[in-house]
Amino acid sequence: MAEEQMVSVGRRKGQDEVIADKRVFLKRAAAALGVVAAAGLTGTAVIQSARKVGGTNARARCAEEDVRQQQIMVGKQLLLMTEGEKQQMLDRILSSHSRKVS
Amino acid sequence: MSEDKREMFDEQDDGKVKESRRDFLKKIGVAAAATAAVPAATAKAVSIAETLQSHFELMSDEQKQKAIARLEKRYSEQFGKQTTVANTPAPDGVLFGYALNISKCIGCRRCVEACVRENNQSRDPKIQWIRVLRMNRGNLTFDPKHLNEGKPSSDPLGNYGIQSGGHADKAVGISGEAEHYYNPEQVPEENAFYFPVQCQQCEDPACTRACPVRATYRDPNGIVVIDYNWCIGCRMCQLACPYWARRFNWSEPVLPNEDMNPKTHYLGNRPRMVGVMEKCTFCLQRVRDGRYPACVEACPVGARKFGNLLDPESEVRKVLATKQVFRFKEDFNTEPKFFYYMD
Repeated sequence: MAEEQMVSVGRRKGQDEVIADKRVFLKRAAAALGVVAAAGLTGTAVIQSARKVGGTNARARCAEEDVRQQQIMVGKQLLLMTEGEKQQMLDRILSSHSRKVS
Repeated sequence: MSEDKREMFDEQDDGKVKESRRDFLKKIGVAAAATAAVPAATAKAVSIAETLQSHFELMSDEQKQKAIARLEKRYSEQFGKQTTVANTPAPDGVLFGYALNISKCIGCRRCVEACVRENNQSRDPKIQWIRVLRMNRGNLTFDPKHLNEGKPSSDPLGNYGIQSGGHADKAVGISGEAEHYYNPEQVPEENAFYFPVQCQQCEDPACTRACPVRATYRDPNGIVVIDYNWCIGCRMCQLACPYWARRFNWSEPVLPNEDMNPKTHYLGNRPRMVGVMEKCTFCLQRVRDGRYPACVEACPVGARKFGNLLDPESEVRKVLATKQVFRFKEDFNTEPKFFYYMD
């Protein structure tokens, strides 16, 4: 009888351990999922705020590019080509175009 | 007996708990996956297949057709109109060249508007492939011998201005202060001339050399094109271009449905996405069909000429043969095929 009780207690202990293991596992799984969800939410929030800022920044960046383009003329001389230079230029372009790359 | 019952109840309880936990975990799993997927969904995500597709030139014909079908479907849904993405090949025996008469240009910017409409450029932020720079007469020299004279002088070629020499405020040779945001009541203004700048379609382009992934390259007709799906948005090409002719999509382009031009080409005017570069392609979708670029058609004074450099009878070759021509920033040796000329 005592032996049976011992066996029964042992089985219950084993079950308790299994249940405890399951709980730990489930807790960890839930925690992991929580982290994934939190990361997703944070990502969304970051992207949305970045978009808001990006919208403003995009206009600023485009304006900056405009200014840079306005400056492309600075310090440049525009030299008219002579007849010979025009012919040389055309020859260069046409020969470059028809060049075969091996 | 009571022990056995208890064990049974334990098992039942345990079973119930397991089941409810499973449901709970499933729900959490679904919620987490949905939460994680939100950014992709809200970003008007390009399909995975589109993201993973190869460089356009390296695709087989079948792959190209699939890619184009994907794009047509996406654009048609996005803009609510039937959109075609052409893959018209480059015609044989053609090298495109462009000539612009700066003595005729009146700075009306109709070319810019036509270009924006034709090429589906973003309305906000404004992206424009053509920039018309307003310059004061007297800010530019066409003749190096005048540079060191130290005083303004007239130009026998026409009053396009001579900034000759320097003074306390302006060093020798520094010339060409240009204004893009001019907004007069009417054009042309007195004492001003206009200098439109766009991609010069260089024969030896610096931009294609700078691209680390070869997303930008010269097509057989000499037009520098961009595979928007292959572009990684590093902006190296923009830095390399001496003409600042490339535009970067800093944010998702805003293109109203009603303004969208549904007739597009894969390498030309199809709508772009955030983070990619774009630029003038001489209206590739038109010129490959034997039509003029939109800016040429829109110019009210006929200042823009376009044609085949391999054909001696073409308009652009006639301009080269008979007019006073110069190229912008020729000293960079990129061999632009965009010529400025004067009557």
